[in-house]
Amino acid sequence: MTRPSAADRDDPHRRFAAWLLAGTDDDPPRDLAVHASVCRECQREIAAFDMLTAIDTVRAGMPPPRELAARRRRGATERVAVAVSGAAAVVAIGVGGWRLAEAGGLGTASEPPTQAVLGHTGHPETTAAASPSAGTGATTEGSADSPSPSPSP
Amino acid sequence: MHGARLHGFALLVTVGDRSRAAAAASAVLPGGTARAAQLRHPERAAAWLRARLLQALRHTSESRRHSWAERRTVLLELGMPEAMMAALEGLTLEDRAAVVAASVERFSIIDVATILGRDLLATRRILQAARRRYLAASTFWMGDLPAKALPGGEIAARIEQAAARAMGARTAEPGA
Repeated sequence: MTRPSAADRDDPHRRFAAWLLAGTDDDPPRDLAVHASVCRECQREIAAFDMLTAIDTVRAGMPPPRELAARRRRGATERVAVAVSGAAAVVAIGVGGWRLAEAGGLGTASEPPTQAVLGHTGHPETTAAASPSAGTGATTEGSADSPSPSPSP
Repeated sequence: MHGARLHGFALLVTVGDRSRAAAAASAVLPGGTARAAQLRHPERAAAWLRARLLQALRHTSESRRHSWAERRTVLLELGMPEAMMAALEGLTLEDRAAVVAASVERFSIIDVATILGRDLLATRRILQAARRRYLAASTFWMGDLPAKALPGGEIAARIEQAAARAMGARTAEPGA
């Protein structure tokens, strides 16, 4: 690093630039202030830094929270997907159960549990009131909807 | 206020790279909110947030989504003269952070040191070098820079006052 010459040290442009670059809160020496107030070159340098002080960062406003929004969107999508899946499962079970009930596969809620399980085939009265052909009928009906009922003890 | 200023700082340091600035500022702000109790002093809190932002920006590269025209619009909205943009663009990320923190946001040297993550001596050296590079670039790019300092400019006003005092003293001397 070379030392500044005496001419450089006395050069008001250089001295003023050094004061400007230091960014100090102290005022420049009087002779420099007088020089800078009339020197075009120094005035340009003053303008270059004064333009920076004129910038207002608050005008930028809040940052758009894209990352957070994206995360929230992903979370919401997952929740909606779970809810839709759950609803679909409920509907499927409901429709399936209703169709099964329509087809006679399931008993109504008012019927005793044994009738629901056996699908009208294991009812003791049905077997008891059967006609001579009831044995074959019961067997046929039972084989259509469910495995053949095992005789109760 | 912290959020808007931080976003503005990010936009200046990234030279109008809107998506990069927004991503970094959005990533840093929740951390500041979480540490709000520890960051009671507004300037210390602001410096801490900018330090985190600068760390985040060091790990990201410039996004190529925005044209120069879009960046220019962003910076013009902040009040940056067009000629200054090219001067800032020629600086490194750290140089820009130093110049913006000290000259635009008027942080003290201690806070600039916090932002850069350096000690005071190194910060003074970096800041002075960054300001010199900025000045050299601005005089290179700004052929149409006003030959007269900005009216109402802070430094211009200080120089005018100091010169007026000096001239007053000089004119008072002969009569004294």
